[in-house]
Amino acid sequence: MQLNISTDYAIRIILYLAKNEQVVSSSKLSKVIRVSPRYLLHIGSKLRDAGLINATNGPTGGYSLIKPAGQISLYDIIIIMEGETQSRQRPTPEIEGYQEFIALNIAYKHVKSTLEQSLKNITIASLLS
Amino acid sequence: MQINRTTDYALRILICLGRENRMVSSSEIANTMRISQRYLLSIVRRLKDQGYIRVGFGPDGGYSLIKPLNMISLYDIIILMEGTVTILRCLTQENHCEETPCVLHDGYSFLQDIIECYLRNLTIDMLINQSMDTWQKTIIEKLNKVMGQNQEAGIPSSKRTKYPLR
Repeated sequence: MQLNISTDYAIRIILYLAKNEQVVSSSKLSKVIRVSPRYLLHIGSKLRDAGLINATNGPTGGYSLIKPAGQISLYDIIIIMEGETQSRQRPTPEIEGYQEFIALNIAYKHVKSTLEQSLKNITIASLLS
Repeated sequence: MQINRTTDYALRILICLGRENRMVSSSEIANTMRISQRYLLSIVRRLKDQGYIRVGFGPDGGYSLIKPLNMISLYDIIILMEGTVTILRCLTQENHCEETPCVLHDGYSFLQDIIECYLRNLTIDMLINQSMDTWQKTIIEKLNKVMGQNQEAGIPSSKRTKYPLR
């Protein structure tokens, strides 16, 4: 059930950029988050493609948040980083005569929707307030 | 954020064995689950090592459950198969955050309490022997207790979990 480590880092990157409200160089950011610049590039490109951050080159370049922190939820970041893998997962096949498997799937649904609902309500702004 | 497929099969195997109350051959389980015996073996090995099932050899061999059904919760099996039920690493690993506790702890740990409450309180026995309405009622009561405790602890309502159980 644990999130991918890259999702974990993506959340911390967004938190840091939201807190600092300015352009942060990639070398500074990779140091703070404790990832390699190359890995940062990989995560950063996903966040940029999703419209959350801006990435500029040059001596005064770096990363900055372009979407307001109050409009970014943890769920948003998770979907950006993991959305593809989630939709690819096929559900376990139903077996005739096993009501218990239906009950189990319902339990999974409850847990998943509780998580999703709550994560949609936790915004970056609320975490920093 | 989803349970692993292997964890799901581990739970289904336990349900299978829990229903039958006898030694079930590996071929019978593999056929019912529609999985290979090899895959089954990889899961069963872990269940056996942790004392959930017993392996019998020979012509009447197979697997049987040795732990009582009401002592096997979803939480137990997820921990066995995946090592953790937390979705964020900072709740399990020390020194993961640059500042401890980090803002994610405050924002998220109450949600983790809710999820763990659900998973700890739902047992294989409930899935097999109770109607969905009955076990859901039980779970909701337990969740209300945890939510009440969170309320006392002063979690702001904007951060409290709302759960969509019927």
